Amino acid sequence: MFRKTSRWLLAAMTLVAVAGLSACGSAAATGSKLEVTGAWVRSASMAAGTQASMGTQEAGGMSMGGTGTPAAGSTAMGNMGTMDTEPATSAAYMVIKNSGGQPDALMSAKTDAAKAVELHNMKMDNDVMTMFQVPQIDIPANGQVELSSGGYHIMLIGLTRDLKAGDKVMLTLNFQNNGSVTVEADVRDQ
Amino acid sequence: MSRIKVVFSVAGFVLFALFAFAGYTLTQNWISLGFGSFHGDALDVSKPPVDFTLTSAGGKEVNLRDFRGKAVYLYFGYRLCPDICPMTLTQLKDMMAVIGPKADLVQVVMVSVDPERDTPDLIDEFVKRFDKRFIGLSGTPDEIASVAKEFGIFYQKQPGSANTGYLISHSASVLAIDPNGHLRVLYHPQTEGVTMAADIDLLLRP
Repeated sequence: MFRKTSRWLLAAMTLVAVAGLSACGSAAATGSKLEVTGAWVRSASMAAGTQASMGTQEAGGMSMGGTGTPAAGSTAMGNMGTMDTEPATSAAYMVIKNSGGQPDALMSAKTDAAKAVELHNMKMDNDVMTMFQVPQIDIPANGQVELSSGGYHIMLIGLTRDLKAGDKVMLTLNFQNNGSVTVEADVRDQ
Repeated sequence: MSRIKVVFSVAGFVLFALFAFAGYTLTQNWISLGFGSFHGDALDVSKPPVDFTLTSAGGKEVNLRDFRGKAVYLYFGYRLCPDICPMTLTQLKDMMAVIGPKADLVQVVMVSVDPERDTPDLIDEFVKRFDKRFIGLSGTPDEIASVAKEFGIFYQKQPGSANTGYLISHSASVLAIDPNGHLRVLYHPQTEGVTMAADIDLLLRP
């Protein structure tokens, strides 16, 4: 009787240990099969005249000068930018590994470093670069996807603060099947 | 040793020394002797020198020919661009660092393909975040269109989101112009700074 109990006990402990270990080494979500590595964000400055943090826009004393047309046609930006009417942008890159047998997809992302975040891809044709928003970034089963310069990237729109090399940015990534994961990205010049 | 042997030995040694010296001189002066090739697409130097007039910060009129005597690296992009434009400007900044004192003989110029949103002040402020020596230029939509056409640069508005407004597809090559105003090299997008730096002697060669 004693032997049987100890065997069950051992089995139970092993199960708990395995479950515990599998939660480590991947970014956050319990039981997640996803691992995010090498996350970095390109250094960039806020739009000229932006107030840092949650952005109350002030009409700053920035002289427009020049003979260029001060962005008259700039359309439905909401409160994204400042008096230069255009938001400051940056890009986040990383590798997302999926060790599960089921494909997953990055559906959206959030950060306090930007007012809006979109998923983008790029294509090059005869040296012409075209960037376009995508609804999701697929991560194949037992595979990975690399977000890198000239390809997939997470676009940060309307920076709420300057991003300088050495800073850190927290990014929350929302996946189709594996919940949300928060990663710390390094700000780098390249 | 016989006399003949001595003569031949000396002659052999002298010949060897001559070849060694010639080889050394050749390698040291490879580029000024006209050898070496660019790490990009070489362009036709027999075409006439290029020029244009656009506007820089403060409404100042700038002619490309103002930079004769220097090598000019010309890039067309826009401020909203989060990836390829900052990447290219960073590579150009790296190039300046690699060539060291020769950077005094170089001018990096960025022309905006988004004249409606990028005023001369704004595009100049943008490029100076990468290197204070860089110059940003803009102009009226017609002026930009005419300059882009002259350099074979394609650009086109693309629909964007409510967050970004329109996006712009554009040729992302870097064009290198020599101190006499001749277009010499086209560097394909994502060419590294060290690669462009390797061509500086060839580009500056009179």
